[in-house]
Amino acid sequence: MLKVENISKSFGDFQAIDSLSFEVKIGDVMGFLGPNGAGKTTSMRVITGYLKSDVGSIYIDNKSIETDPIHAKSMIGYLPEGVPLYLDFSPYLYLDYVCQVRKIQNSKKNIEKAINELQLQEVRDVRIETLSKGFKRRVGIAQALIHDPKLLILDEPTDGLDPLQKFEVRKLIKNLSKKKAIIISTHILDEVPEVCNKCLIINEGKKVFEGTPNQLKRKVGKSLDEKFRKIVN
Amino acid sequence: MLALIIRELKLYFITPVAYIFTAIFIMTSMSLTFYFGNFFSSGVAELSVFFSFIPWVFIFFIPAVTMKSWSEEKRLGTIELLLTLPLPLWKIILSKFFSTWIFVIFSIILTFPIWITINYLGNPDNLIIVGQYLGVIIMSGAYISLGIFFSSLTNNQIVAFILSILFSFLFTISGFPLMINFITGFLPIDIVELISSFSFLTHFSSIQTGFFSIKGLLFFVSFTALWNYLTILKFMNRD
Repeated sequence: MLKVENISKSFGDFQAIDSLSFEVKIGDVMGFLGPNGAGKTTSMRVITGYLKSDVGSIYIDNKSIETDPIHAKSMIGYLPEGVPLYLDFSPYLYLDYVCQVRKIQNSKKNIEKAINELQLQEVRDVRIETLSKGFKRRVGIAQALIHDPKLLILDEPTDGLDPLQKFEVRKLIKNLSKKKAIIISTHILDEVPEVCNKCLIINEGKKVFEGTPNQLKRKVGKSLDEKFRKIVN
Repeated sequence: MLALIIRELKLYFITPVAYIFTAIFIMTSMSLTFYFGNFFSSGVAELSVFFSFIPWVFIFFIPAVTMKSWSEEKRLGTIELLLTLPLPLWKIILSKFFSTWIFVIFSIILTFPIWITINYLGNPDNLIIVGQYLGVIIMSGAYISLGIFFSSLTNNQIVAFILSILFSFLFTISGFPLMINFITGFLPIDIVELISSFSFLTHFSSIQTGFFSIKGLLFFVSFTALWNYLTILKFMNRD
């Protein structure tokens, strides 16, 4: 579904991504890990077409993000870092706008489905600006899901949610993974074996580990936090 | 693209800011016309005085409207969502331009009481007034494209506002006698003529009569296209 081939990206002298390659297939939930400044957000921005890579190629369902960006982007659902939203809109108005701009047929049905799945019923007509961090994150996830994308890229989807909401979102991601390829960037390492069947660790823009959560466990054999520290160091 | 334009217009009208801007625009243009333009004492049933003040009001009004367009998207981070939509970049950029233009046209149309007033007081040539309104609308596109470009350079609305005012002012007065006399002192005549040829006032003066000169029309249309193109280039080379 997603094929990343040897991408590099630099900002002036700073090499943010260095020859990164990986693949994500339908049914995969890939945990994308790395310390702050490792290049996770830049990688996601390049994959979604927000930034252009200096070299390398990205294919989404065999469509190049460089040469066929409209088709490639139409298959992506994206929750960027910090959950940017139009604060003057209500969740309903915002999701309706996303449906219009993505030319979704039966938009009302999709909006209702997203509102129910993300438990936004009680705040559907409330200004987003006044919502809690947890609700804002759920609105962000809803806009990423509303067009039923084949590739879902979520930057810290459970950050700011309470334990029950975290459980619900993880359950939702697991359910969605049957028909989608999903990439999750997270700092919560315990989330990886719980939700992901693949994980990729990058440091200073380079891939330092790729495998399953079980392989990660076997590699060092201690707590996940300790393994993470050992790998990135 | 239509969905993006509607979204932008909703964002304008969902808050009181748009209404305040429109009210200030109407009050300022009316005040200038009635108090400084000797509207009543001139004894002529025409709106030339009103239209002559419009470029000066635009210098402040349009940067106030456009300062938010891209800098707010950058500040909130929503630019990332916008530019990862499956839409060509030019459609996204132009949707900002057209929505702002619609809003400005809405504000211009709301100055209609002055038109009613002049018809009540005398017998103006309404065809000329329609031409003058169309001229102002076309000229507003040039100010808007300039303001949107400067808004795309920064995530700080105030910086965008100040830069837009500065450049709008320079493009407005570049053909003004005071400005021409000043730069003639140290610049070659060819350069002076080139600078004055970019003056909004010079090109607007022909449109102001209500009769469109092809030169004036082409100037504003190509100026608007150029600054919109520069905004597209800015985002094509984003980092």
